[in-house]
Amino acid sequence: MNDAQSPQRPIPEPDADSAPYWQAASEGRLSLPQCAACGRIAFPPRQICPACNASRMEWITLSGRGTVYSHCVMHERFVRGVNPPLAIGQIELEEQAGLRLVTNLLGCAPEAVRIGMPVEAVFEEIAPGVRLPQFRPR
Amino acid sequence: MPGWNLRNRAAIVGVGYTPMLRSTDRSLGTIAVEAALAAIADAGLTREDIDGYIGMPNAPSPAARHLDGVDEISAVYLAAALGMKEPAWLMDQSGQPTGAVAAACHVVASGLCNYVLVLRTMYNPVGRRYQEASQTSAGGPLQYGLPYGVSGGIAMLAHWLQRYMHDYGATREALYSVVANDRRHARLNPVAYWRDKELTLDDYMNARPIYAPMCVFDCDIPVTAAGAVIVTTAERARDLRHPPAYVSGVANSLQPGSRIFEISGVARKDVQVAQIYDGFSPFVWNWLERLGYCGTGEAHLYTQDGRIGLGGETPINTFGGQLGEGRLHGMGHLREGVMQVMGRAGERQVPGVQHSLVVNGFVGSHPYFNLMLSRG
Ligand SMILES: [Zn+2]
Repeated sequence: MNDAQSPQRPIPEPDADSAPYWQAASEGRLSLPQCAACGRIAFPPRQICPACNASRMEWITLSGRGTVYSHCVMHERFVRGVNPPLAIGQIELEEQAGLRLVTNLLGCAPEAVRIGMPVEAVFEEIAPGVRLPQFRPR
Repeated sequence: MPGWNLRNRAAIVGVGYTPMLRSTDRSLGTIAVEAALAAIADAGLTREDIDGYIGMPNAPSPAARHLDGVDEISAVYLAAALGMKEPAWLMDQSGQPTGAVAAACHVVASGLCNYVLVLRTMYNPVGRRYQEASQTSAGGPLQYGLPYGVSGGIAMLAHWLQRYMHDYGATREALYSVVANDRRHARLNPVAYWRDKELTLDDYMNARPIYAPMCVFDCDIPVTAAGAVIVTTAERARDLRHPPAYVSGVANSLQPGSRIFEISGVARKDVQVAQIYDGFSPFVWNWLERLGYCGTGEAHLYTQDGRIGLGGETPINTFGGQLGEGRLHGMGHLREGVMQVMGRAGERQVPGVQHSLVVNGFVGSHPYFNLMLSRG
């Protein structure tokens, strides 16, 4: 469990591509840009579609549901403020095959995580007004 | 499909390197110049002959400070420190040494340069852990990983390995075959960090987990060291001291694994020895499958029974790999590939090497290069 994370955890720096992603997270939503021409959802967020190069991307709110594609357990502290042991997963989101993001797995012991486990997004406040998309078993 | 008009028209003619050290009082710039001078001397040349330079300055450590001459060596720094006069080509690139050699082939074949120096330095930060990230904010690609505890590439490889074990029934015991092969070969390499220490199955299975299922011995050991090679045209190469290592093909990791065999005209069965990038042990399984040495999901079986060892079907990482020698980011693989095709690998020499494969590619999206080196 990672309720022991310290306040010095690195804060994500929004940029022109990612600002809406972090804004949505601060509101408790998982949001990514979807191409208006071909329908592909891009992660990391992009302003031009990597699949078809169309330039109209629309930010959509995702269900936050997915499954564990793979996972590992961080046993040593390499990042300031992120304390071991901690499960780090790759989540495949239900909206699109191969659409995967990295997260911690909260609400279960690191060794209990399994590939294929159904998960849902939660939003962890790591600094005032800064929330990190995270996942837990559903 | 486009071909490559430079098959065997350029060659590597000299190598230089420094010992693999965990820490040193010597500056990284000093180490870089030492490796450069060693490569120049090995080729039988002088500094005045070198009219081109391609380096890979980036320090990939999450703890890096990116200070020229301290933990990185830029083309500008090296050219000045080595005292190069009027170089016709100076370039920093972001890939591995194999990509720099591929570019150097073009620079000499065009006639712009006679001799191009390719150099890689690596720096083990003093007083900090190599993978330690101490920043308070995470921008660029780090924003999606660092806040979750992902520092460097290990977690991504751990994910790849976990999925591979799940899909194909592979085990950590099976992965030991890759690490043990490296560590066995490292004992025959005088500059290898692990030249004096065997790694037993017990040591491996009981090792500190880092990002489990990856343990500490699945990760290469960070060192401070440099390696360099000299690239010239086939015509000039023939007049120098050593049998040239002709560059017969180049391909990269965004292309199909078979591309290196197609473009070089060298069949996989005609390759006598291969150096396969092993910054993290699972890379070797991934590449053996992509190159077609075995089928998808079969590499964990392929690497057993001495098949990849000296005396085996195709010996792999005969210098000990980065897991046995140290983290030179592909330069160790390149150097050994050259030494094998020149016939200068000493106790590690594979008999009758005609074609020597050097794989610097990664799992994932980095377009890092693979080379085929051939004897004339
Ligand atoms: Zn599109």
